[in-house]
Amino acid sequence: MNPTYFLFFGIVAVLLVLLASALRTPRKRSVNQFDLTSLEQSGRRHATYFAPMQQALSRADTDFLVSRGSPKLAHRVKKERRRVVLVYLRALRSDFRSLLHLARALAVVSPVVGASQELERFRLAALFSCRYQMVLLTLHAGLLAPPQLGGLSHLVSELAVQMEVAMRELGERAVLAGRLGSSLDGGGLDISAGRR
Amino acid sequence: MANIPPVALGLWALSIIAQLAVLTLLLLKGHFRGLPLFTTYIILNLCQAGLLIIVYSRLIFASHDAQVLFWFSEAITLIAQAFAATEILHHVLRPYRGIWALAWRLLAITSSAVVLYVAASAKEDPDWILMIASRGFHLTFTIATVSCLLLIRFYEIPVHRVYKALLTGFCLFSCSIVIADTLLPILRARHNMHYAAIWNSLALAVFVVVQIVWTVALREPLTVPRDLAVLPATYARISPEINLRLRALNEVLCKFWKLEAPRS
Repeated sequence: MNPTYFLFFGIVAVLLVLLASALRTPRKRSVNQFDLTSLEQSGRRHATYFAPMQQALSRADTDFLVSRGSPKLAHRVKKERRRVVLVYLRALRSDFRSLLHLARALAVVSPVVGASQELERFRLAALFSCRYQMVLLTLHAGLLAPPQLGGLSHLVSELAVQMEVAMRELGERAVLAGRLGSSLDGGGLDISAGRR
Repeated sequence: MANIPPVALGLWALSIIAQLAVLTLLLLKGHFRGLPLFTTYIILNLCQAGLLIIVYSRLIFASHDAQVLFWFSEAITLIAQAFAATEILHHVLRPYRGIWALAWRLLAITSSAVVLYVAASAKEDPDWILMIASRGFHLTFTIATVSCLLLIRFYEIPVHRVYKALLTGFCLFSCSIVIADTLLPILRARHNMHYAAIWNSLALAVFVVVQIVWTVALREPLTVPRDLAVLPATYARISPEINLRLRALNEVLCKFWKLEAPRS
């Protein structure tokens, strides 16, 4: 049999799967129920908790524990550090998702949407998702070296402050967008009845 | 019409009854006002059925003239199908002007790409040119519709049940045609005696099911979301800023794994 025929059957199967996934009802948190308070909180969480995390990641602390404490204690600290990083990563992902959600809410209520902006966002979302999974794998495999975390802490510390300011600003700006979006909920018009 | 396979004849009769039910609902419930192109599509389908009843009662089912008339009427209904589906997508996205602008670009790009591919493949096999063209149309139609539905899903835009049912019906019917048109040359090459009956019955059976689903769906009142007030400048101001933040978050992950930072 001509392999082209298999290609068509395959395409139809893929299309049917995509159709089923596209028709699923959106999650509870749709762009029409955009929660601005969660957005502001996610920025604040970094600012509040990053300083103790940075302390926990410092090489000096680890060296001190290795020289004065037992190997068991050093191992426990290492394990705890990894847990902290994992929690922090989850917070980063949460921030990323909040920003994406805000961007979608804005695009939905905007009369003009930049295709390049949307494509860029789509690309960034795909990149973030891949990298997040890779970092998780690296962490679980215990391959993440302390110097890397040290460098990271400085960068993230700066970012946390920037994010807090930006999130608040974006949240304020998007209040109107959120209100407009919520007006969609249950705001359907009966075409047939309305025009009779 | 004695030379038409009985199964195909039965399914054909069922499809006409189902289409009449859909048309009755469109008229009685007043949906024809909101969906004029979809109503036209149903009417054209019924006209095609009427024309083919006359053609097959006077000409042999597989004769050249009957085939020419069939493909001519089919082309008209296919164009109507494309317009009807676009009308429904426009109804769903009408309050979201920015997303609709993205959607129609997506429709144009996906359609052009598939049409080019189909045109190229039709040249390779001139004996099956009409079949390839028909399959190509339905493939283009389904890919474009599913792409738009995925876009709608990405932006979490609510779609009314009736519109979901109508678009799903169109996609399922087009998928069945792609399968049927692909199966036909295979069955013929294997000297299957019932290749024409299988080809006809497969698409007709799905078409009947789709019409029944539409009949059930169209019993509900049609609704469209209210048109949204818009923020013209906000998107232009905030969207690049959000992308900047997203890029910054990506860079954090890069540092974790020593990946190259994405270029801004």
